[in-house]
Amino acid sequence: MAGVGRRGPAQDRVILETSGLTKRFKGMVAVDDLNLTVRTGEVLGFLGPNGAGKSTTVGMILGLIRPTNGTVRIAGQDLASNAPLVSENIGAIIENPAFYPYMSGRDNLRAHAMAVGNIPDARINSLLELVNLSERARHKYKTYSLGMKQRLGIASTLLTDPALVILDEPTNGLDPAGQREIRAIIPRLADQGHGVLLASHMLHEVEQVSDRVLIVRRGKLITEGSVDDLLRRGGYIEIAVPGHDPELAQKAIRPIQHVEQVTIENGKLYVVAPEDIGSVLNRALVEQGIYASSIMPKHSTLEDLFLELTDEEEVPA
Amino acid sequence: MMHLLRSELFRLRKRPQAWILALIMVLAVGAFYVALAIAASVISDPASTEESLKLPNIFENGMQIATLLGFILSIVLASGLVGNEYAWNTIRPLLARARSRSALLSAKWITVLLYSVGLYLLGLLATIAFSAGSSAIIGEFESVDATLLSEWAVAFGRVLISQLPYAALAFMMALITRSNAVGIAVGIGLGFLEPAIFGLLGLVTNAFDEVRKFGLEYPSNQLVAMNANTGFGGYGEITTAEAWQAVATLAVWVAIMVGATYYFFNKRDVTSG
Repeated sequence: MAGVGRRGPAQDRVILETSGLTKRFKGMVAVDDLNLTVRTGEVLGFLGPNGAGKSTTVGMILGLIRPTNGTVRIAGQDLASNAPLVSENIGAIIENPAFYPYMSGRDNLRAHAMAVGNIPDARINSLLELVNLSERARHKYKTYSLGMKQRLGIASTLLTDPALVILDEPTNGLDPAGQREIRAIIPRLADQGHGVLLASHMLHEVEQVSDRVLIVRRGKLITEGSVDDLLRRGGYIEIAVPGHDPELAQKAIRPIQHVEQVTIENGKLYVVAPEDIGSVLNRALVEQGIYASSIMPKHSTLEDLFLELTDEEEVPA
Repeated sequence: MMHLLRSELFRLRKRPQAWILALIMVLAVGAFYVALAIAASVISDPASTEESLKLPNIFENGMQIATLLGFILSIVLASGLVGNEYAWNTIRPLLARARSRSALLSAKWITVLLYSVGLYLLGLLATIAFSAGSSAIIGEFESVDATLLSEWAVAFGRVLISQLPYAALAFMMALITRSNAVGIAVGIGLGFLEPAIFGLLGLVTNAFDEVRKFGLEYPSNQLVAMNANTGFGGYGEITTAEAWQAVATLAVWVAIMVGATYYFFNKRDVTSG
Protein backbone atom coordinates (compact mmCIF):
# COMPACT_ATOMS: atom_id res chain seq x y z
CA MET A 1 0.00 0.00 0.00
CA ALA A 2 1.64 3.21 -1.14
CA GLY A 3 0.24 6.06 0.88
CA VAL A 4 -3.20 6.12 2.33
CA GLY A 5 -4.64 8.82 0.13
CA ARG A 6 -6.71 10.68 2.68
CA ARG A 7 -8.26 13.82 1.35
CA GLY A 8 -10.52 15.44 3.90
CA PRO A 9 -11.78 18.99 4.24
CA ALA A 10 -9.46 19.54 7.20
CA GLN A 11 -6.42 18.92 5.06
CA ASP A 12 -6.05 22.46 3.85
CA ARG A 13 -4.90 23.92 7.16
CA VAL A 14 -1.17 24.26 7.54
CA ILE A 15 -0.38 23.40 11.13
CA LEU A 16 3.41 23.34 10.93
CA GLU A 17 5.76 25.23 8.71
CA THR A 18 9.51 25.47 9.01
CA SER A 19 11.46 27.92 6.95
CA GLY A 20 15.21 27.82 6.47
CA LEU A 21 15.52 25.81 9.66
CA THR A 22 19.19 25.35 10.51
CA LYS A 23 21.04 24.01 13.53
CA ARG A 24 24.78 23.93 14.01
CA PHE A 25 26.41 22.22 16.96
CA LYS A 26 29.99 23.41 17.46
CA GLY A 27 30.61 23.85 13.76
CA MET A 28 28.78 20.68 12.71
CA VAL A 29 25.63 21.27 10.69
CA ALA A 30 22.89 18.99 12.06
CA VAL A 31 20.01 20.54 10.11
CA ASP A 32 20.60 22.66 7.03
CA ASP A 33 18.07 25.11 5.65
CA LEU A 34 15.10 22.77 6.05
CA ASN A 35 11.67 23.75 4.83
CA LEU A 36 8.75 21.51 5.61
CA THR A 37 5.02 21.83 5.91
CA VAL A 38 2.49 19.61 7.63
CA ARG A 39 -1.23 20.02 7.10
CA THR A 40 -4.00 18.73 9.29
CA GLY A 41 -5.34 15.37 8.10
CA GLU A 42 -2.13 14.18 6.48
CA VAL A 43 0.80 12.01 7.46
CA LEU A 44 4.16 13.44 6.48
CA GLY A 45 6.87 10.80 6.53
CA PHE A 46 10.16 12.33 7.59
CA LEU A 47 12.76 9.89 6.38
CA GLY A 48 16.46 9.80 6.84
CA PRO A 49 19.23 7.51 7.98
CA ASN A 50 20.33 7.62 11.61
CA GLY A 51 22.07 10.90 12.33
CA ALA A 52 20.37 12.70 9.44
CA GLY A 53 18.98 15.40 11.74
CA LYS A 54 15.43 14.14 12.22
CA SER A 55 15.41 14.28 16.02
CA THR A 56 17.17 17.64 16.02
CA THR A 57 14.46 18.95 13.71
CA VAL A 58 11.77 17.56 16.00
CA GLY A 59 13.58 19.14 18.96
CA MET A 60 13.48 22.53 17.26
CA ILE A 61 9.82 22.16 16.39
CA LEU A 62 9.09 21.41 20.06
CA GLY A 63 11.18 24.33 21.30
CA LEU A 64 13.66 22.04 23.03
CA ILE A 65 16.50 23.06 20.75
CA ARG A 66 17.02 26.61 19.60
CA PRO A 67 17.54 26.98 15.84
CA THR A 68 20.75 28.65 14.68
CA ASN A 69 18.72 30.10 11.82
CA GLY A 70 15.24 29.87 10.41
CA THR A 71 11.78 29.84 11.86
CA VAL A 72 9.17 27.40 13.07
CA ARG A 73 5.57 28.46 12.63
CA ILE A 74 2.85 26.54 14.41
CA ALA A 75 -0.75 27.25 13.43
CA GLY A 76 0.54 30.32 11.58
CA GLN A 77 2.40 31.82 14.54
CA ASP A 78 6.12 32.10 15.14
CA LEU A 79 7.28 29.70 17.86
CA ALA A 80 10.20 31.94 18.87
CA SER A 81 7.85 34.60 20.18
CA ASN A 82 5.13 32.31 21.50
CA ALA A 83 6.39 29.27 23.44
CA PRO A 84 2.93 28.04 24.56
CA LEU A 85 2.17 27.19 20.91
CA VAL A 86 3.80 23.80 21.44
CA SER A 87 1.73 22.72 24.43
CA GLU A 88 -1.43 24.09 22.81
CA ASN A 89 -1.03 22.50 19.39
CA ILE A 90 1.39 19.58 19.50
CA GLY A 91 1.50 16.16 21.06
CA ALA A 92 4.80 14.35 20.64
CA ILE A 93 6.76 11.22 21.30
CA ILE A 94 10.44 12.06 21.15
CA GLU A 95 12.64 9.08 20.25
CA ASN A 96 11.18 6.82 22.94
CA PRO A 97 8.14 7.23 25.14
CA ALA A 98 9.25 8.36 28.59
CA PHE A 99 7.09 8.21 31.69
CA TYR A 100 7.51 7.96 35.45
CA PRO A 101 8.26 4.32 36.28
CA TYR A 102 6.73 4.44 39.76
CA MET A 103 3.29 5.49 38.53
CA SER A 104 0.61 3.56 36.68
CA GLY A 105 -0.17 4.23 33.04
CA ARG A 106 -3.32 6.08 34.05
CA ASP A 107 -1.53 8.21 36.65
CA ASN A 108 1.13 9.09 34.12
CA LEU A 109 -1.55 10.36 31.77
CA ARG A 110 -3.15 12.20 34.70
CA ALA A 111 0.15 13.89 35.50
CA HIS A 112 0.46 15.04 31.89
CA ALA A 113 -3.17 16.12 31.87
CA MET A 114 -2.64 18.19 35.01
CA ALA A 115 0.40 19.87 33.49
CA VAL A 116 -1.79 21.11 30.67
CA GLY A 117 -4.96 21.59 32.71
CA ASN A 118 -8.67 21.03 32.16
CA ILE A 119 -8.53 17.53 30.77
CA PRO A 120 -11.23 15.33 32.26
CA ASP A 121 -10.67 11.76 33.41
CA ALA A 122 -13.16 10.62 30.75
CA ARG A 123 -10.71 11.77 28.08
CA ILE A 124 -7.94 9.76 29.71
CA ASN A 125 -10.14 6.69 29.83
CA SER A 126 -11.15 6.98 26.20
CA LEU A 127 -7.52 7.33 25.14
CA LEU A 128 -6.54 4.28 27.17
CA GLU A 129 -9.29 2.45 25.35
CA LEU A 130 -8.11 3.73 21.98
CA VAL A 131 -4.64 2.29 22.52
CA ASN A 132 -5.91 -0.92 24.13
CA LEU A 133 -4.45 -0.22 27.55
CA SER A 134 -7.58 -0.02 29.68
CA GLU A 135 -6.97 -3.35 31.35
CA ARG A 136 -3.38 -2.53 32.27
CA ALA A 137 -3.99 1.13 33.10
CA ARG A 138 -3.65 0.55 36.84
CA HIS A 139 -0.36 -1.29 36.58
CA LYS A 140 2.94 0.45 37.08
CA TYR A 141 4.56 1.82 33.94
CA LYS A 142 7.78 -0.01 34.72
CA THR A 143 5.96 -3.33 34.23
CA TYR A 144 4.86 -2.44 30.69
CA SER A 145 6.27 -4.07 27.57
CA LEU A 146 7.89 -1.81 25.00
CA GLY A 147 4.78 -2.00 22.83
CA MET A 148 2.58 -0.92 25.73
CA LYS A 149 4.93 1.95 26.47
CA GLN A 150 4.71 3.11 22.87
CA ARG A 151 0.92 2.90 22.97
CA LEU A 152 0.82 4.87 26.20
CA GLY A 153 3.06 7.41 24.49
CA ILE A 154 0.58 7.75 21.65
CA ALA A 155 -2.27 8.15 24.14
CA SER A 156 -0.33 10.90 25.87
CA THR A 157 0.25 12.76 22.59
CA LEU A 158 -3.50 12.87 22.06
CA LEU A 159 -4.44 14.19 25.51
CA THR A 160 -5.05 17.72 24.31
CA ASP A 161 -6.49 16.61 20.98
CA PRO A 162 -3.61 18.43 19.28
CA ALA A 163 -3.70 19.59 15.70
CA LEU A 164 -0.25 18.10 15.15
CA VAL A 165 1.06 14.76 16.39
CA ILE A 166 4.80 14.15 16.15
CA LEU A 167 5.96 10.56 16.31
CA ASP A 168 9.72 10.19 16.35
CA GLU A 169 10.64 6.57 15.59
CA PRO A 170 7.41 5.27 17.14
CA THR A 171 8.06 1.62 16.36
CA ASN A 172 11.65 1.57 17.53
CA GLY A 173 12.44 -1.72 19.23
CA LEU A 174 8.96 -3.19 18.77
CA ASP A 175 8.31 -6.72 17.59
CA PRO A 176 6.43 -7.10 14.28
CA ALA A 177 3.06 -7.36 16.02
CA GLY A 178 3.75 -4.20 18.00
CA GLN A 179 4.89 -2.39 14.89
CA ARG A 180 1.70 -3.37 13.11
CA GLU A 181 -0.42 -2.08 15.98
CA ILE A 182 1.28 1.31 15.93
CA ARG A 183 1.07 1.49 12.16
CA ALA A 184 -2.64 0.83 12.34
CA ILE A 185 -3.09 3.76 14.71
CA ILE A 186 -1.19 6.35 12.64
CA PRO A 187 -3.58 6.57 9.65
CA ARG A 188 -6.50 6.72 12.08
CA LEU A 189 -5.00 9.83 13.63
CA ALA A 190 -4.89 11.53 10.25
CA ASP A 191 -8.42 10.36 9.49
CA GLN A 192 -9.51 12.12 12.66
CA GLY A 193 -8.01 15.36 11.35
CA HIS A 194 -4.66 15.41 13.13
CA GLY A 195 -1.59 16.31 11.13
CA VAL A 196 1.05 13.66 11.73
CA LEU A 197 4.79 14.13 11.36
CA LEU A 198 6.29 10.65 11.33
CA ALA A 199 10.06 10.74 11.71
CA SER A 200 11.51 7.35 10.95
CA HIS A 201 14.30 5.48 9.30
CA MET A 202 11.99 2.52 8.68
CA LEU A 203 11.08 2.78 5.03
CA HIS A 204 8.27 0.29 4.75
CA GLU A 205 6.61 1.96 7.72
CA VAL A 206 6.72 5.37 6.10
CA GLU A 207 5.69 3.94 2.75
CA GLN A 208 2.66 2.26 4.29
CA VAL A 209 1.19 5.11 6.27
CA SER A 210 2.42 8.39 4.77
CA ASP A 211 0.70 10.67 2.28
CA ARG A 212 3.86 12.61 1.60
CA VAL A 213 7.48 11.86 2.23
CA LEU A 214 10.42 14.10 2.87
CA ILE A 215 13.88 12.58 2.73
CA VAL A 216 16.84 14.17 4.49
CA ARG A 217 20.50 13.37 4.53
CA ARG A 218 23.06 15.10 6.71
CA GLY A 219 20.38 17.55 7.76
CA LYS A 220 19.57 18.59 4.21
CA LEU A 221 16.37 17.97 2.32
CA ILE A 222 17.14 15.84 -0.72
CA THR A 223 13.68 15.13 -2.05
CA GLU A 224 10.03 15.36 -1.15
CA GLY A 225 6.71 14.50 -2.70
CA SER A 226 3.73 12.22 -2.42
CA VAL A 227 4.57 8.57 -1.95
CA ASP A 228 3.04 7.75 -5.34
CA ASP A 229 5.09 10.43 -7.08
CA LEU A 230 8.30 9.29 -5.50
CA LEU A 231 7.65 5.68 -6.40
CA ARG A 232 6.75 6.62 -9.97
CA ARG A 233 9.97 8.61 -10.10
CA GLY A 234 11.90 5.49 -9.32
CA GLY A 235 9.95 3.21 -11.76
CA TYR A 236 11.31 1.55 -14.90
CA ILE A 237 10.27 -0.85 -17.70
CA GLU A 238 11.86 -4.26 -18.13
CA ILE A 239 12.00 -5.63 -21.68
CA ALA A 240 13.01 -9.19 -22.58
CA VAL A 241 14.13 -9.74 -26.20
CA PRO A 242 15.29 -13.40 -26.34
CA GLY A 243 16.94 -14.37 -29.63
CA HIS A 244 17.65 -10.74 -30.57
CA ASP A 245 20.60 -8.42 -30.12
CA PRO A 246 19.84 -6.31 -27.03
CA GLU A 247 22.18 -3.56 -28.22
CA LEU A 248 20.16 -3.23 -31.41
CA ALA A 249 17.03 -3.00 -29.26
CA GLN A 250 18.70 -0.34 -27.13
CA LYS A 251 19.46 1.72 -30.24
CA ALA A 252 15.84 1.43 -31.34
CA ILE A 253 14.43 2.61 -28.05
CA ARG A 254 16.83 5.32 -26.99
CA PRO A 255 15.56 8.07 -29.37
CA ILE A 256 11.96 7.73 -28.22
CA GLN A 257 10.53 10.76 -26.49
CA HIS A 258 10.32 10.50 -22.64
CA VAL A 259 12.89 7.71 -22.53
CA GLU A 260 15.48 8.90 -20.06
CA GLN A 261 17.81 5.96 -19.89
CA VAL A 262 18.21 2.46 -21.40
CA THR A 263 20.60 -0.05 -19.85
CA ILE A 264 21.31 -3.68 -20.60
CA GLU A 265 21.74 -6.25 -17.89
CA ASN A 266 21.76 -10.05 -18.31
CA GLY A 267 20.39 -9.68 -21.82
CA LYS A 268 17.40 -7.62 -20.70
CA LEU A 269 16.73 -3.94 -21.26
CA TYR A 270 15.88 -1.62 -18.40
CA VAL A 271 14.20 1.55 -19.54
CA VAL A 272 13.68 4.57 -17.34
CA ALA A 273 10.52 6.05 -18.80
CA PRO A 274 6.85 6.61 -17.95
CA GLU A 275 5.20 3.23 -17.54
CA ASP A 276 2.40 4.00 -20.08
CA ILE A 277 4.71 4.07 -23.12
CA GLY A 278 5.07 0.29 -23.31
CA SER A 279 3.16 0.11 -26.63
CA VAL A 280 5.35 2.83 -28.14
CA LEU A 281 8.46 0.89 -27.16
CA ASN A 282 7.01 -2.30 -28.61
CA ARG A 283 6.24 -0.63 -31.95
CA ALA A 284 9.77 0.77 -32.19
CA LEU A 285 11.19 -2.69 -31.56
CA VAL A 286 8.88 -4.37 -34.09
CA GLU A 287 9.88 -1.79 -36.70
CA GLN A 288 13.44 -3.03 -36.24
CA GLY A 289 12.32 -6.67 -36.52
CA ILE A 290 12.74 -7.26 -32.77
CA TYR A 291 9.95 -9.09 -31.02
CA ALA A 292 9.87 -8.71 -27.25
CA SER A 293 8.67 -11.64 -25.19
CA SER A 294 7.70 -9.32 -22.34
CA ILE A 295 7.44 -5.58 -21.64
CA MET A 296 6.79 -5.10 -17.94
CA PRO A 297 6.53 -1.84 -15.98
CA LYS A 298 8.31 -2.26 -12.63
CA HIS A 299 7.76 -0.14 -9.55
CA SER A 300 10.70 0.57 -7.35
CA THR A 301 10.10 0.66 -3.63
CA LEU A 302 10.67 3.63 -1.40
CA GLU A 303 13.59 1.67 -0.09
CA ASP A 304 15.22 1.64 -3.55
CA LEU A 305 14.72 5.36 -3.85
CA PHE A 306 15.88 6.02 -0.33
CA LEU A 307 19.05 4.01 -0.76
CA GLU A 308 19.72 5.66 -4.09
CA LEU A 309 19.27 9.14 -2.65
CA THR A 310 21.02 8.65 0.65
CA ASP A 311 23.86 6.52 -0.66
CA GLU A 312 26.92 8.07 0.97
CA GLU A 313 29.78 8.96 -1.33
CA GLU A 314 33.21 7.82 -0.30
CA VAL A 315 34.95 10.66 1.40
CA PRO A 316 38.64 10.80 0.48
CA ALA A 317 40.89 10.72 3.48
CA MET B 1 2.32 27.66 36.28
CA MET B 2 -0.38 26.43 38.65
CA HIS B 3 -1.13 23.51 36.31
CA LEU B 4 2.53 22.51 36.33
CA LEU B 5 2.70 22.85 40.10
CA ARG B 6 -0.35 20.62 40.47
CA SER B 7 1.29 18.05 38.24
CA GLU B 8 4.55 18.25 40.22
CA LEU B 9 2.74 17.79 43.53
CA PHE B 10 0.68 14.93 42.12
CA ARG B 11 3.83 13.14 41.00
CA LEU B 12 5.47 13.83 44.35
CA ARG B 13 2.48 12.39 46.16
CA LYS B 14 2.67 9.25 44.04
CA ARG B 15 6.42 8.89 44.48
CA PRO B 16 7.37 6.25 47.04
CA GLN B 17 10.68 8.00 47.72
CA ALA B 18 8.90 11.05 49.14
CA TRP B 19 7.02 8.89 51.64
CA ILE B 20 10.03 6.77 52.51
CA LEU B 21 12.13 9.86 53.30
CA ALA B 22 9.35 11.19 55.53
CA LEU B 23 9.09 7.82 57.26
CA ILE B 24 12.85 7.79 57.85
CA MET B 25 12.56 11.19 59.51
CA VAL B 26 9.82 10.02 61.91
CA LEU B 27 11.49 6.70 62.68
CA ALA B 28 14.89 8.28 63.34
CA VAL B 29 13.47 10.86 65.72
CA GLY B 30 11.42 8.14 67.39
CA ALA B 31 14.46 5.89 67.73
CA PHE B 32 16.41 8.76 69.31
CA TYR B 33 13.77 9.30 72.00
CA VAL B 34 13.28 5.58 72.60
CA ALA B 35 17.03 5.23 73.10
CA LEU B 36 17.05 8.21 75.49
CA ALA B 37 14.11 6.81 77.45
CA ILE B 38 15.77 3.41 77.74
CA ALA B 39 19.00 5.07 78.81
CA ALA B 40 17.14 7.11 81.46
CA SER B 41 15.65 3.94 82.87
CA VAL B 42 18.90 2.00 83.17
CA ILE B 43 21.60 4.51 84.11
CA SER B 44 22.29 5.30 87.78
CA ASP B 45 22.06 9.12 87.44
CA PRO B 46 19.35 9.75 84.88
CA ALA B 47 18.72 13.44 85.65
CA SER B 48 20.42 14.94 82.59
CA THR B 49 18.98 12.29 80.28
CA GLU B 50 15.51 12.88 81.65
CA GLU B 51 16.04 16.59 81.07
CA SER B 52 16.82 15.85 77.41
CA LEU B 53 13.48 14.13 76.97
CA LYS B 54 11.46 17.14 78.07
CA LEU B 55 9.50 19.31 75.66
CA PRO B 56 11.29 22.60 76.47
CA ASN B 57 14.56 21.04 75.33
CA ILE B 58 13.54 19.61 71.95
CA PHE B 59 15.67 21.98 69.87
CA GLU B 60 18.78 20.87 71.74
CA ASN B 61 17.94 17.21 71.32
CA GLY B 62 15.40 15.66 68.96
CA MET B 63 15.40 18.61 66.58
CA GLN B 64 19.17 18.38 66.18
CA ILE B 65 18.58 14.86 64.83
CA ALA B 66 15.69 16.07 62.67
CA THR B 67 17.83 18.94 61.36
CA LEU B 68 20.71 16.68 60.40
CA LEU B 69 18.38 14.18 58.77
CA GLY B 70 16.38 16.91 57.08
CA PHE B 71 19.63 18.26 55.63
CA ILE B 72 20.36 14.90 53.97
CA LEU B 73 16.82 13.90 53.03
CA SER B 74 15.86 17.25 51.51
CA ILE B 75 19.04 17.15 49.44
CA VAL B 76 18.13 13.67 48.19
CA LEU B 77 14.63 14.79 47.26
CA ALA B 78 15.63 18.13 45.72
CA SER B 79 18.29 16.52 43.59
CA GLY B 80 16.00 13.69 42.50
CA LEU B 81 13.24 16.07 41.55
CA VAL B 82 15.28 17.40 38.67
CA GLY B 83 18.01 14.76 38.20
CA ASN B 84 15.57 11.92 37.74
CA GLU B 85 13.76 13.81 34.98
CA TYR B 86 16.95 13.42 32.98
CA ALA B 87 17.56 9.84 34.11
CA TRP B 88 14.04 8.77 33.16
CA ASN B 89 14.06 10.85 29.94
CA THR B 90 10.95 12.65 31.10
CA ILE B 91 12.29 16.18 30.88
CA ARG B 92 11.59 16.57 27.15
CA PRO B 93 7.94 15.45 27.20
CA LEU B 94 7.48 17.54 30.32
CA LEU B 95 8.92 20.61 28.61
CA ALA B 96 6.72 20.00 25.60
CA ARG B 97 3.73 20.24 27.97
CA ALA B 98 4.95 23.36 29.74
CA ARG B 99 3.87 26.80 28.62
CA SER B 100 7.41 27.99 29.30
CA ARG B 101 10.64 26.67 30.74
CA SER B 102 10.57 29.24 33.52
CA ALA B 103 7.09 28.13 34.54
CA LEU B 104 8.24 24.53 34.79
CA LEU B 105 11.32 25.48 36.78
CA SER B 106 9.29 27.66 39.11
CA ALA B 107 6.90 24.77 39.74
CA LYS B 108 9.87 22.58 40.62
CA TRP B 109 11.41 25.16 42.95
CA ILE B 110 8.12 25.58 44.77
CA THR B 111 7.80 21.81 45.08
CA VAL B 112 11.29 21.55 46.59
CA LEU B 113 10.46 24.34 49.02
CA LEU B 114 7.11 22.85 50.04
CA TYR B 115 8.50 19.36 50.48
CA SER B 116 11.54 20.51 52.45
CA VAL B 117 9.49 22.71 54.75
CA GLY B 118 7.02 19.86 55.15
CA LEU B 119 9.83 17.45 55.96
CA TYR B 120 11.29 19.69 58.69
CA LEU B 121 7.78 20.34 60.01
CA LEU B 122 7.22 16.61 60.19
CA GLY B 123 10.50 16.29 62.06
CA LEU B 124 9.37 18.98 64.49
CA LEU B 125 5.97 17.34 65.03
CA ALA B 126 7.59 13.95 65.50
CA THR B 127 10.04 15.45 67.97
CA ILE B 128 7.24 17.07 69.94
CA ALA B 129 5.19 13.87 69.92
CA PHE B 130 8.04 11.57 70.96
CA SER B 131 9.34 14.07 73.52
CA ALA B 132 5.88 14.45 75.07
CA GLY B 133 5.25 10.72 74.99
CA SER B 134 8.58 9.61 76.39
CA SER B 135 8.73 12.31 79.12
CA ALA B 136 5.17 11.40 80.14
CA ILE B 137 6.08 7.72 80.38
CA ILE B 138 8.93 8.42 82.77
CA GLY B 139 6.76 10.91 84.70
CA GLU B 140 8.73 14.02 83.72
CA PHE B 141 6.21 15.67 81.38
CA GLU B 142 6.34 19.47 81.25
CA SER B 143 3.62 21.48 79.55
CA VAL B 144 4.27 24.17 76.96
CA ASP B 145 3.41 27.86 77.34
CA ALA B 146 3.05 30.63 74.79
CA THR B 147 6.60 31.89 75.35
CA LEU B 148 8.03 28.48 74.56
CA LEU B 149 5.86 28.17 71.48
CA SER B 150 7.16 31.47 70.14
CA GLU B 151 10.74 30.35 70.86
CA TRP B 152 10.04 27.17 68.92
CA ALA B 153 8.71 29.17 66.00
CA VAL B 154 11.89 31.28 65.87
CA ALA B 155 14.09 28.19 66.26
CA PHE B 156 12.19 26.40 63.49
CA GLY B 157 12.70 29.43 61.25
CA ARG B 158 16.43 29.21 61.92
CA VAL B 159 16.41 25.53 60.98
CA LEU B 160 14.74 26.27 57.65
CA ILE B 161 16.97 29.24 56.82
CA SER B 162 20.11 27.31 57.72
CA GLN B 163 19.26 24.08 55.88
CA LEU B 164 17.27 24.99 52.77
CA PRO B 165 20.30 26.47 50.96
CA TYR B 166 21.78 22.97 50.81
CA ALA B 167 18.65 21.62 49.13
CA ALA B 168 18.88 24.55 46.71
CA LEU B 169 22.52 23.71 46.05
CA ALA B 170 21.67 20.07 45.32
CA PHE B 171 18.84 21.13 43.02
CA MET B 172 21.07 23.54 41.14
CA MET B 173 23.88 21.03 40.71
CA ALA B 174 21.51 18.28 39.55
CA LEU B 175 20.04 20.66 36.99
CA ILE B 176 23.35 21.97 35.69
CA THR B 177 24.96 18.54 35.44
CA ARG B 178 21.70 16.73 34.61
CA SER B 179 22.66 14.21 37.25
CA ASN B 180 20.91 13.19 40.43
CA ALA B 181 24.10 11.68 41.85
CA VAL B 182 26.11 14.87 41.38
CA GLY B 183 23.38 16.92 43.07
CA ILE B 184 23.39 14.65 46.11
CA ALA B 185 27.17 14.36 46.23
CA VAL B 186 27.80 18.09 46.04
CA GLY B 187 24.96 18.96 48.43
CA ILE B 188 25.99 16.55 51.15
CA GLY B 189 29.69 16.67 50.35
CA LEU B 190 29.95 20.43 50.66
CA GLY B 191 28.10 20.33 53.96
CA PHE B 192 30.79 18.12 55.42
CA LEU B 193 33.85 19.15 53.41
CA GLU B 194 33.52 22.92 53.69
CA PRO B 195 34.42 23.08 57.40
CA ALA B 196 37.25 20.60 56.85
CA ILE B 197 38.68 22.58 53.94
CA PHE B 198 38.47 25.90 55.80
CA GLY B 199 39.93 24.20 58.87
CA LEU B 200 42.97 23.18 56.85
CA LEU B 201 43.25 26.57 55.17
CA GLY B 202 43.00 28.17 58.60
CA LEU B 203 46.20 26.43 59.53
CA VAL B 204 47.95 28.35 56.75
CA THR B 205 46.59 31.81 57.50
CA ASN B 206 43.87 33.38 59.63
CA ALA B 207 42.56 35.27 56.62
CA PHE B 208 40.44 32.28 55.69
CA ASP B 209 38.53 32.56 58.96
CA GLU B 210 36.88 35.68 57.55
CA VAL B 211 36.29 34.12 54.13
CA ARG B 212 34.63 31.14 55.80
CA LYS B 213 31.91 33.40 57.20
CA PHE B 214 30.72 34.05 53.64
CA GLY B 215 30.43 30.41 52.70
CA LEU B 216 27.41 28.18 53.31
CA GLU B 217 28.51 26.12 56.27
CA TYR B 218 29.54 28.80 58.76
CA PRO B 219 26.40 30.95 58.69
CA SER B 220 24.27 27.82 58.53
CA ASN B 221 25.88 26.30 61.59
CA GLN B 222 25.78 29.62 63.41
CA LEU B 223 21.99 29.60 63.13
CA VAL B 224 21.73 25.96 64.20
CA ALA B 225 24.03 26.64 67.13
CA MET B 226 21.71 29.42 68.30
CA ASN B 227 19.00 26.80 68.73
CA ALA B 228 21.24 24.67 70.93
CA ASN B 229 21.93 27.54 73.38
CA THR B 230 25.17 25.83 74.31
CA GLY B 231 27.77 27.37 72.10
CA PHE B 232 27.37 24.21 69.98
CA GLY B 233 30.10 23.80 67.37
CA GLY B 234 32.40 26.41 68.84
CA TYR B 235 30.45 29.36 67.49
CA GLY B 236 30.31 31.01 70.92
CA GLU B 237 27.73 33.65 71.74
CA ILE B 238 26.13 34.80 68.51
CA THR B 239 24.94 38.38 68.44
CA THR B 240 21.81 39.54 66.65
CA ALA B 241 23.95 41.35 64.09
CA GLU B 242 25.92 38.17 63.41
CA ALA B 243 22.70 36.21 63.06
CA TRP B 244 21.35 38.68 60.51
CA GLN B 245 24.63 38.59 58.65
CA ALA B 246 24.33 34.80 58.50
CA VAL B 247 20.77 35.09 57.17
CA ALA B 248 21.82 37.65 54.57
CA THR B 249 24.78 35.54 53.45
CA LEU B 250 22.61 32.48 52.99
CA ALA B 251 19.95 34.54 51.18
CA VAL B 252 22.55 35.79 48.71
CA TRP B 253 23.74 32.24 48.06
CA VAL B 254 20.18 31.03 47.48
CA ALA B 255 19.51 33.93 45.11
CA ILE B 256 22.64 33.03 43.13
CA MET B 257 21.63 29.36 42.98
CA VAL B 258 18.07 30.10 41.91
CA GLY B 259 19.29 32.59 39.32
CA ALA B 260 21.79 30.08 37.94
CA THR B 261 19.08 27.46 37.43
CA TYR B 262 16.88 29.87 35.46
CA TYR B 263 19.86 30.98 33.40
CA PHE B 264 20.99 27.48 32.48
CA PHE B 265 17.54 25.96 32.09
CA ASN B 266 16.36 28.70 29.76
CA LYS B 267 19.56 28.96 27.78
CA ARG B 268 20.42 25.35 27.11
CA ASP B 269 19.26 23.07 24.32
CA VAL B 270 17.57 19.98 25.66
CA THR B 271 18.97 17.25 23.45
CA SER B 272 18.56 14.35 25.83
CA GLY B 273 16.42 13.32 28.76
